[in-house]
Amino acid sequence: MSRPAEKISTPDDPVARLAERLSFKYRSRITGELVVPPRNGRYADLPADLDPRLRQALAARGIQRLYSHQAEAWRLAREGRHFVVVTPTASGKTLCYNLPVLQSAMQTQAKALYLFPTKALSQDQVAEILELNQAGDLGVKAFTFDGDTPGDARKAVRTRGDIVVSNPDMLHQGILPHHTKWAQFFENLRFVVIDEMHTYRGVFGSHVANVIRRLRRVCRFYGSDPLFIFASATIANPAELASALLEEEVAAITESGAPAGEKRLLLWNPPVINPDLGIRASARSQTTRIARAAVKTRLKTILFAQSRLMVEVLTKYLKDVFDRDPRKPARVFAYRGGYLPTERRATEQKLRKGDIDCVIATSALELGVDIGALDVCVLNGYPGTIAATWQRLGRAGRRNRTALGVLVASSAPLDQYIVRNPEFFLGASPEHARIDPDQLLILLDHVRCAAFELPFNEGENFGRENLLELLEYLAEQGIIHREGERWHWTADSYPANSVSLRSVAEGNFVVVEITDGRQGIIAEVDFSSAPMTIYEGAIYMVQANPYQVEKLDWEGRKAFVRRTRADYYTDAIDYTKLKILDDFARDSAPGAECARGEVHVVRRIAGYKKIRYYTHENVGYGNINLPDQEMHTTAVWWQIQPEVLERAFPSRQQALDGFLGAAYALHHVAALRTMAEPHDLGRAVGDGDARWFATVDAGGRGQIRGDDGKVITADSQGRFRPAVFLYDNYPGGVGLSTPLYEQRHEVVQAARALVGACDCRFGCPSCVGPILASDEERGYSPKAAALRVLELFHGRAQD
Amino acid sequence: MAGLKTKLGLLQKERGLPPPAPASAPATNAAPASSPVKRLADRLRDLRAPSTAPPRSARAVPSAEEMAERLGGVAIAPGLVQVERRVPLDGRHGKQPLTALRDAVDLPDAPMAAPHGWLFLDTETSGLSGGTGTVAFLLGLARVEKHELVVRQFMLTAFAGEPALFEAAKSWFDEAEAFVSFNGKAFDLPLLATRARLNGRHVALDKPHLDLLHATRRAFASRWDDCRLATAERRLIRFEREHDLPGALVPEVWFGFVQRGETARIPAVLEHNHWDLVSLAALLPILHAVHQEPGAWESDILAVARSFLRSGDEPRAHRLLAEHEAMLTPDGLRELAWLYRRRGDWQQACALWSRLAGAGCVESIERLAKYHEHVVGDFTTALAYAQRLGDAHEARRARLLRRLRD
Repeated sequence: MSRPAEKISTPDDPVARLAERLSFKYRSRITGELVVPPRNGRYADLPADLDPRLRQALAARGIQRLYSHQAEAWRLAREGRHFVVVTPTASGKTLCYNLPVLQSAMQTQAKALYLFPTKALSQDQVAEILELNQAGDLGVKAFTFDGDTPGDARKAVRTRGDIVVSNPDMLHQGILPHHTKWAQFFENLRFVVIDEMHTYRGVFGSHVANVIRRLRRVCRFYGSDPLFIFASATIANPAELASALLEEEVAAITESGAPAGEKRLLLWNPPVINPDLGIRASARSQTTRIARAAVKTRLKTILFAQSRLMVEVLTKYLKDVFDRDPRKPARVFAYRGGYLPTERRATEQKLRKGDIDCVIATSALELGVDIGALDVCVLNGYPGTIAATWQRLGRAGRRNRTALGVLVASSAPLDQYIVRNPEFFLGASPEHARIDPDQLLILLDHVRCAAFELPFNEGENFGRENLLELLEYLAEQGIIHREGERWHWTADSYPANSVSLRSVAEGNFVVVEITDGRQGIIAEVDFSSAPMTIYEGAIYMVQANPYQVEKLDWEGRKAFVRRTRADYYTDAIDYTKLKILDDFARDSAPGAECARGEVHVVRRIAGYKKIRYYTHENVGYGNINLPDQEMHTTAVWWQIQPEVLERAFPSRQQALDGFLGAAYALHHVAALRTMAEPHDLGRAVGDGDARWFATVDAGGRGQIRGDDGKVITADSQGRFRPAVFLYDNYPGGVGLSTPLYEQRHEVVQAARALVGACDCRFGCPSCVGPILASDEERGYSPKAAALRVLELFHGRAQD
Repeated sequence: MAGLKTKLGLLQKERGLPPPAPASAPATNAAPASSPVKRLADRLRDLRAPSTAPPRSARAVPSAEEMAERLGGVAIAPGLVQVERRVPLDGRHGKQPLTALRDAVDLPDAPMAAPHGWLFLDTETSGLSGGTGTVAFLLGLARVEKHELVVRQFMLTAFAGEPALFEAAKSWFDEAEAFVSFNGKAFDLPLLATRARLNGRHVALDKPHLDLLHATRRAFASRWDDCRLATAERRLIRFEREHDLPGALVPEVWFGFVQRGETARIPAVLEHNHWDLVSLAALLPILHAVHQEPGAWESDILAVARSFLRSGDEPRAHRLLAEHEAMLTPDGLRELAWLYRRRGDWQQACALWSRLAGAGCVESIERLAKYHEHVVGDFTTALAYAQRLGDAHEARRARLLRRLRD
């Protein structure tokens, strides 16, 4: 809400003092520094056509004027133009849509649908509307409608709600398939508000774009054509993403008129502790050090970790420091997906009240959940995208004093690239968010859902593909039936229930605690991460308390765990084999070839490592017995002609190590280049016919395994034609392989630059992957081998 | 981004075909069935687990006229057959004489309606999942006309007949005073409302509605394993169907008809629906009788009495419990004692409490203690009862001792 800019950093600003102390004491670790000066507010008068009751409601909340971006939003809404607002956290973004929506609800009984990615955000939003409503006695009714809405309240929401606040999943499964119950609502629907738009990218965004197609199709049935208002955190292409979601032109408001305090950002590279191997101190150790300093000076601190596991490890280390006395209220909390909603709500509330000194979170807290303002934000590792980095850093910042952000680099290549080239990060624009609503499987899923909602008519469009072919395909399966000019649903099923917007496979796992004969659910794990986290023997942590998985009921989607005192945690080991099914495009360089096509991927989770706390030594292995994960997807791969390869390397072992190192570098560079997150791409080294695939053994050397998973020798193969595969890590592919193929030359170039410019001698986690000390005795450098492979990919066979 | 179009484009290029035209004109650019379309289906099959439904060759779906002839009905519109059958009221359904349908109905949740104002309603549908994609392909209605129960069934032979179905049924819906169904409040009526809305038809569905599932559950949920219509039919009406089509197979029969022109089991669906309607009609007077004389039907007397209590008919609730006193459970006796107490009949109330107290009912002992302390002022007797109560009643005992001393 609008308040005048207050005074900014002063000499006794404790955050500024901490920033200065860190910059001085650890200057050799700080590779880059950015100071964003405080910003004054830019204001506009309340619009002349604003309803007096709304004016009064604003006045009651201390708002006499608008920020410039709020006034701009008002103008666009009154002109009936779809628009997207992109402004930072706490810049009064919600008024951009609340004002026009409330005014129309009061004056013309217009209805509005608000969509937030999570239930928690919906509840925050309704609370805010109700406050305004009360302040001005507006008489507008706003309700949430989600899985938690009791059955007897649903009818009231449908018939009496002026503003219905929900989420895309509920729209998809609960509202659209029952649209006739909402007839009155849809007939009068004038606004659709989609907040946190930046979360609708990739697979999720592609699904949501289709849900919007279905929503508009249902609206057309009821004769309405609502205005869409999007709000988003910073991304490079907000207008483009909004247009892709809506398939119409969308205007963008990108200049915030809200004031902001100074922001400081430090890029932090952990010190080198073994120069020969290029090994650096862990990001974890640096992150805990910075967090300790911040919490000791009583600054509210948030830590972001890349994985749920790392959240638990960091939480344990900080609790060991700050929460040693069990009689005192805890100061350190973990927050991540998988915790039960009630526990997360309780933590949010404690954060708002300032009862928590340090919270360790995953991206779950990246969204606009209201947790109040914090002082210091430490990122343990680069979040993978520039947009996510700024989004997380935005969690720290109050209007009247400095906020400090520290990005602590891990040894991952991307992290090292970022901290060693600070100008790249500090100068780069955030990523483009991409969606592919016409991805074949996603589109087909939603054509099914849409056919259930309303019969398709001859000549109707849905998506940019040939709808008729898709309908014929569904008819062939007996799901729909053509009668004259229409296609009717003819299956005894409710298709939306089998389509999840968030992931490929359905069915979350629940984690059931069975300590002392209890039977209570303590967490949930989504299907895709279950194989890596709740295998039998795994240590699963909740608020840093370790539980051991005793039994995994794969079919029943349950993991039974018991409290344990283990002094180690576990990390799963997986490997991937891959077979080329078809190629769509190929490009030859002298002696080498790059291609794009369809592949079949089998991922096996073979076992796990036990890792002791603090020392991080490996204290044992265990086997995992789980079904293979299979998918068809698209990939880009690089190969070298066997004769060229034989000439270039003295042994197949060296060539293999070169391929593994090259794959490692290519994977990370490709993620950066295609603006994907690293886990959106998978990598594998193997024979294209899946006769063998390569893994890295415990000693860091490449080895070849046959189809049955047994180790075989490279020399026993006839023709030796390894390939590096980078595949789209989603069944059917979400369109990542095309931009990757288009940039195949640049990706190889950049990988060569990354490896070539690395300071290490034989290779390190920052260029070609972890190399062990014994490698010096191999008599060759894996780094040089990887460089050689990359040069051959580039077509320098004759050099 | 690569999608179907790109994939198809590449596939077609490999085959030497021109790339597909824009999807805006899908009807005109349908590729020959032998080439990319087939490839698309293959590709989809690769990406996805194969469908359980095998491809099948279709016979032509019979017209409404053909079906009318087969079912002994009339084709009243393209895609719509009406079948009418009249059941004389002087006959029996199972053991139940249908004449009782002429009598007034007195149930706690029954709306006021004349015997000929009830519209019995039951649909057969393409599934149970609800939502807009489920279609009621058979609408069965029945009402009393003079000396007959008239059963009228509207059967779709094509989706195109659906608007006509709502037109054809309109007069009966309009003339009805109230609906009678079995689980129709939660299922049939919302489904009909949805389908009417989808077809842009207005049907007067917003009327009083007596759902016999609720009345059946009330009286028999504690007695029977389940309260399905088939169970009520067997246990109350004592009607046994022969060769009945199980309800779970109904969607399959409809899909077989509409997709492949299979008609063999369609008459069985109409038969099934017909018996459902007649049983519904027979059940109405039985449930009336159950609520008059719950003891005679081995029903849950207390639950029936409580339903009258909830609907505000306390005298009736009282009478039912008093008449069945010998058959009541302790819960029933407590309820009856409470009703006596409410009308100030302490003598009857105390008699019941004493009986219950003798069997160790703590609540009744407490009631007696209170009665003797506050109503009679007999502290000695009150204390005697209070002594039999637990620690939570220490204050009461102390107070009574004090009052006895004073």
